[in-house]
This record gives sequence, structure tokens and C-alpha cells, in this order.
Amino acid sequence: MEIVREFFSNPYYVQVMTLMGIFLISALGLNLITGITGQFSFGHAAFMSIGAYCSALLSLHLPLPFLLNLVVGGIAAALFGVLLGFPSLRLTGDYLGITTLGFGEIVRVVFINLKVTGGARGLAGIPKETAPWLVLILVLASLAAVYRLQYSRYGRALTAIREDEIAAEAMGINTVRYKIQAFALGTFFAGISGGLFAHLIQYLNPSDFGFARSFEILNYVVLGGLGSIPGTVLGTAVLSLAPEFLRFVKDYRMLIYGGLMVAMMIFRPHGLLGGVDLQRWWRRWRQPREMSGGAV
Amino acid sequence: MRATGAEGKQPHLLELNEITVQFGGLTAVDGLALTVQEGQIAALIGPNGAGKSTIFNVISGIYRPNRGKVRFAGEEITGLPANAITARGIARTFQNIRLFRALTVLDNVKLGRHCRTRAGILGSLLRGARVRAEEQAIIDYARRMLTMVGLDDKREEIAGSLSYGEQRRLEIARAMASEPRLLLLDEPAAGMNPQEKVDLMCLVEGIRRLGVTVLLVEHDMKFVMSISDTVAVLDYGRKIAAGSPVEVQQNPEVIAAYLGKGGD
Repeated sequence: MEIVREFFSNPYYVQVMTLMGIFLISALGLNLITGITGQFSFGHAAFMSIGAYCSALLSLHLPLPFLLNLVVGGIAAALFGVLLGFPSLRLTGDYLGITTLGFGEIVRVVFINLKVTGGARGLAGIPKETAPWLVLILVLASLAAVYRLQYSRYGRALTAIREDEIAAEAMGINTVRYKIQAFALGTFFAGISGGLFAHLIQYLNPSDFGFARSFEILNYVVLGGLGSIPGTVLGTAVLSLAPEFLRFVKDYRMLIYGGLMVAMMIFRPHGLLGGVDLQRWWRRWRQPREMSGGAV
Repeated sequence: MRATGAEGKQPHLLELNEITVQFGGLTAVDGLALTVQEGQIAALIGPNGAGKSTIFNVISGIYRPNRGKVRFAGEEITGLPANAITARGIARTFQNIRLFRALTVLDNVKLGRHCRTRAGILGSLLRGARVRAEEQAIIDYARRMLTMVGLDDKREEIAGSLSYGEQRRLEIARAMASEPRLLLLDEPAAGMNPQEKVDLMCLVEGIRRLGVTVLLVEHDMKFVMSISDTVAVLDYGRKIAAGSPVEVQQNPEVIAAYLGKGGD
């Protein structure tokens, strides 16, 4: 108990955990797009920045409640997700990846050059609204939401698109519409995550949401196991905490971090929890009992 | 009452009219006309590259023909997207099996129910009573289809781990889950052993008894001739013969297409 109390009274630990929660929300959104629907997105951080700037500007200029700003930021990100989705989701694989990469750069450059966002100097003075408990609640809500989405008629259709798009069409699934919806949902999570980030750090700079950040989030999802919600949680936890735990090795920190990623890909090429379906294990474990019950 | 033909004949369920499909300079299908009556088992045969699979792709909406019309149940469906055609009651299997390999056997068939069910994003998030009832109905229906093809006890296995013959049957169960009026089977007996072929024949007969019309492409002549009511023969994208299995087998042009012209 003493350890737990000490942990939560240490502001550094709380900050690290809060940031992890914020990035987890974003990663869950990307898992929906890339892990479940199988559509590459290399511009996820751009959608975070849209949510971040949108909600931060609302907070700075209008006397609206924070939660409303947060949701508006999420919706703005989703709107751009749909706008990008319409022309680009007819592309697949690498082509889509490159399109999203380009979009990410465009967003960054636009934010650097806009006056209202403070340009390259960044946007300062954002009120601190993001509390650790709020992030915890939103993480749990996001987990519940993506879990329900994945294990439903809707999520099955998304998985079918990942597995075989032509067969998915033959099942009567309007694949273009579903892909755009998945993009909208995933980028909504990114927007919410960005809004939380803005109101925690209280300062936004376009360079926070570049290409490197997009890849970082993609790493969480891929190393955890594409399409696996527990995998995304584990991947985000390991990769966002590892640089903190590795501070004691000082200069070698990022070297070891990189080595860790290489090792994980060699030993678990499908991610830490890739291909592990907890639901299926659970059903298998329950099945023999049901059967013996039915035989009576 | 459904409208009947001019001479009181049964209306055609499927009607292809002057269908032409070109890939660049290659004419894969050339002015093809084909009709399938409701309740029949019809077969499409012909040498490799005759255009059989292309026809299937036109009917199921994967290709758009350069010319010609496809009518299904009295309505024109030419150029509709594949998902809309499935919704209208045409289901299919694929020559080179296209299962959702990483998903379970049951999930594959549940996906076949997609076009007959409704729950969307909001429904899956809220999981109300109606959505839960629908999901249960999907499972029940899918398991009935799996029982029909004899795969219910394998429902929790990963589709990609099934044997070849089982995968073919799973594709049929998945297609049947969409409650089609017309089922297109693309080489259903390919890669099956003799016993599996006999089982498949029983399965296709059983599907017809359910009131589903079947159109199949198949290379196994024994299979085709013993199961089909009508057979159409394709060669180089043109229909060279059509009729009952016996008529077709005696047609000199068909014999020439298969065995080559006899020298004299």
C-alpha cells in the first residue's frame, strides 16, 4: 500500500502515466484503422494535432466547458479523416500509406504557417484542464467502445475488409463506406487524445505532431499486435514507459530502445499479443462444460 | 403473382444479354447470351480461358461488362456494385477460395449474414436488446448453415487451418448464409477426392431443394453431367452449345472444342 501511495504522490510518475493514457487513446484509434480494418495510416499524429489545436483554440477564445471543446476537437479530427478518406480509401496498402504520410506533412506545415495557431513559435497559455482521473475514465471508456465495436456485426465487417476486400464486397459489405467510417472513428480517438495532450502540456508546437510521432503510435500498435486491443494496451505501455525506465543508462537510452524493438520483431513478428484472441480462449475453456450440460 | 413470359413459360431468374467483356485488346467474353430458370441447376463449361470465371465476375458485380445487360429476377443489375448484387440475392464462391482465413469458421459464416442484418456503429456501442437478439439470430442461422455442410463441430477453428475440401464447403455455407435466390459456384469440386465430390453433389442437390437456383462452373465432366439440368458450353468467350447434358455431349462442336478437330 505504501508503494502505491508513494507512486501516486510522485508527480513525475503521475505525469508519465497520464501521458501514456493519452497516447493509448490515440493508439486505440489507430488500431481500429490499421489493426482491425487493415488500412495503413502514417499520419495519425496529424489528426491528434487537429484535435489539439481545435480544442485549445476554443479553450483560449470561447468560454465553453472543456469537455465540449474536447469533443469538438475529436469531431474536427474525424471530419478531416473523412475528407482524406473519400479520395484516398480507394487506394490500398503502400499507396494509402504514402497518401496519409503526405497529409500528415501538409497539416504540420499548415499549422506552422497559420497565425491563429502561433505558427512555429507554438501556442502557449492553454489552460490546464486534463486531470489524471479524467484520462483514466476516458481510457476505460475508449477501451469499452473499441471492444464493443470490434466484437460486433460492425467490427466483423471491418475485419473482413482487412482479410479479403473482394470477399467482403461479396458478403454485401460496402467496403468504401466502412473504410471511411473506420477512418472517422479512429481519427476521432486521435482528436480526443490530442485535446487531452494540449490541456495537459499547456503548450502546442507543430513539431510535436510530425512524422516521428505518427510512427511512434504506429509502433505501439504493431509491436503490441495489430488488431488486438490488449496488444495495443501492452504495446503502448511497454514502448511509452521503456524510454522512462531506461533513463538510468543515459546516452544509451535510445540505442537500447531501438534494440528492444528489433528483438521484439524477431521473436514476436506478429506483435506481443498478435494472433492471441482472448475471447476465443475463453469460449474454448467454457465449451466442454456447456456440452456436458447439454447432454444430460 | 409474378409476371410470366409471353407463352406462359416460367420467367428466367437470370438473363444475360449480349455480354461482351474486353481486357485491353483481349475479348474474354463475346456477345454472350445465357438464361437460367428458377429452381434449376445450370452449368457453364468450357476449356481453360473460355471466359467462365469472367462471366461469374460480371454477374456478381466484380467486373462491369463493356456491352450487354444482366437481368436478375426481372430487374437490370448491370454495373451495380458487388455488395448491392449480394443484397439482391446472388451469392457466390470463388475459384481460388477467398475465405477470411484468420477468422474462425463461425465468424466466416456470420459474415455471410451481413447483408441480411442491420446493427451499425451506434448499435454495437450501445448493445441494446434488439442488437443482442440480432447477433444471436446471426449465430443461430450461421450454425444451421454449418450443420448443413457438416462443419458445425469445427466452428471455433481458424478457417485457414481447414482442409481444402472443408474450405470449399465453408465457402458454400458462407454464401448460403446470405439467403441467396441464385448461388454461383466457381469450380466447387476442384481439388476434392471422389468421396468429397459425392458429398458435394448431395449438398448441391440439397441446396436446390431449398429453392435456391444454382449456376456452376466446373471442369469435372462426370460431376457436371450427373447434376445439371442444363449445360452451356463456352469456347473463346462464345457460347458454342447449350441444352441438356445428353444433347451437349453429342454436339460435334463441343467434342471438337474439347478434343480438337479430328483430322481426315
